Amino acid sequence: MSSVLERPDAERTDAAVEELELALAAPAAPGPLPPSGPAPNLLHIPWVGRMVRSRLYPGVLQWAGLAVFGAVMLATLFGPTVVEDNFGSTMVWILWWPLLPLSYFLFSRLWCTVCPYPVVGEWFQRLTGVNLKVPRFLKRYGIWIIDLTFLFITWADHVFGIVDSPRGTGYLLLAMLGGAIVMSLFFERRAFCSHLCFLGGLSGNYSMTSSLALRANVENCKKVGCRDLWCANGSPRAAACPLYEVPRTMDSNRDCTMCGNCVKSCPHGSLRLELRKPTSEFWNVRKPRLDVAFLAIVLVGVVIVQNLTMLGVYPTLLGHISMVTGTTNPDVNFTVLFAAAMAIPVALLAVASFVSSRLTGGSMLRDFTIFGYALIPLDLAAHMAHNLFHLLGEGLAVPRSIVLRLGGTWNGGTALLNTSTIEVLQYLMLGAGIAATVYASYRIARSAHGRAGRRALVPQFLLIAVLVAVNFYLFAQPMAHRA
Amino acid sequence: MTHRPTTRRLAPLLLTAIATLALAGMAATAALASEGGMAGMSDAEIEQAGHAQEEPAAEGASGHGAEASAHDQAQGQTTGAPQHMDMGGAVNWIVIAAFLAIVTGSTLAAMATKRRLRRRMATGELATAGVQHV
Repeated sequence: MSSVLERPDAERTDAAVEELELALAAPAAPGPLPPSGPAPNLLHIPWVGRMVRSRLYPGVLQWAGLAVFGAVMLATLFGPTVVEDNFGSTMVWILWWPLLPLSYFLFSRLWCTVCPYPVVGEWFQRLTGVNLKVPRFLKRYGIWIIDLTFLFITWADHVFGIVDSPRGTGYLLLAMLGGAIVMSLFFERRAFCSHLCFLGGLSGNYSMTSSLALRANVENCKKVGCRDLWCANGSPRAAACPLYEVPRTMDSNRDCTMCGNCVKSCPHGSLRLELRKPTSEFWNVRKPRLDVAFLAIVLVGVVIVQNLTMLGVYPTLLGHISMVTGTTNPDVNFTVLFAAAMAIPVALLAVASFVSSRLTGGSMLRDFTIFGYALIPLDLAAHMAHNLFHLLGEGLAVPRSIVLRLGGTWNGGTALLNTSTIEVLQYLMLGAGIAATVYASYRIARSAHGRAGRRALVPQFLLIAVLVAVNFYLFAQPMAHRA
Repeated sequence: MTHRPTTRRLAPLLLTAIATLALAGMAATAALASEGGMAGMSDAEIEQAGHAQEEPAAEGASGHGAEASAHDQAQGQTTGAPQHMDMGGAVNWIVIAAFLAIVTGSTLAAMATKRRLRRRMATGELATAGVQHV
């Protein structure tokens, strides 16, 4: 280890490390099995346990990710300038971006372990990292910076045409890579992912819906009297938790990237890879956070804007706005539309929460926060439904761009499925999201307000109905392709 | 001086570096858009460029997908980046050079910070700051 500042594991005695080595060496690969508890522990499945404990995990995935990322960077910075001909652009916006929310739902934040930015950052960290502790204001306000960055990038995409330009995509990727490197050089672990990456905020929210969760068996930790917290602080076998989590107290997927470090480090086999009811995390969160709820409600607006700008009605809408603003500048008018699309859902949730709090005698801010969480499944479903159109409607643009780059010709289309089939899938996805949001609201209301929860639900259900109607209308309109 | 002021002093610098990177990226994209875009082209040229862009889209699309992006229509442009944008143009190299400069500068700054912390630790200055070793 090159340098350590205030790291708890540095205070450990050699005897403690020796004890760990003995404990790790003594049992067979899976370690002493903890009581299985209420849900099955997937780590008990031999190949899953072996894979997560393997030295090759997650390295193999990271190297594969790096190879693809390298190709994407080269293509976006030096390849063809037409989106549909550029492998980098098609790979990022037609394959990776649409699959990303799905991956969060299926595998929680596993993508964040595969992501090449922190991997490159860690190289620099090992080379000459100072490993300072993250400043307090970043810990406190990082998620707000993430929220604002996400909004800024969404806005900038429309104004500067990032998605429509392979070079713009390349510069965005380069800026994020630079951010990850700079943060890794000065601060310990994955400070960029944890406090600044706008995708980190998105993935944190979406991963809460996942059925997959890595948790510690607290009973087992207590039974063996573990006080060393190898799972959080790292061991000679694996590094510390990159996102500063302590599995023993972790109650959310938000800051778990499924890197498996804790599984490798724990000598007592206390880690559990569990399957749970999708979205069940929302009504089990001990400390709901306003910033998370804010991102959730703002994402509703982001999806609405993303849909709107791809519809035939968009120029007409800008025309109406221009009558109010008095300018025909599309950027100014888009900015007004964008601000309204972000502000209106926030205002609606605030009004619904105000009414809920009046009906139950609770706090408006608390209702805003807890019911904001309930909207995450709707966000995820609308996001996936929107991107389903790109993935299935133009998914073959990726192989097409490769074939063209290799000098071949591509005579077929780029659609994997026809539009009507995609629309059916979109509605099914939206339906699943609505059902999950309604059920999550119900469970949240019940756990937060008890019997009075039913009254609190009335304004929240009205809000959900409005959001659903808007989304259904938008998805019913013909949409333009990316490539 | 303790450990805390060091991070306090560094954090705004780092945020500035990251913000600069992001803004440089945005500015470069905007510069490319205006440099290689439709600005200064005649109506006929714009129309011609539009047709050139629409053809492959129509070829590869299904259903209503052959339409140009509504956003682009609203901007008075067609789908995709301008065709005649130089591959590896000056803006491209400026952005890449800026990226390399920031990464190199940060690496040197990190090395210097580490050296300074080591020196201060050797003199016992950081003994009360919880620093174990650097």
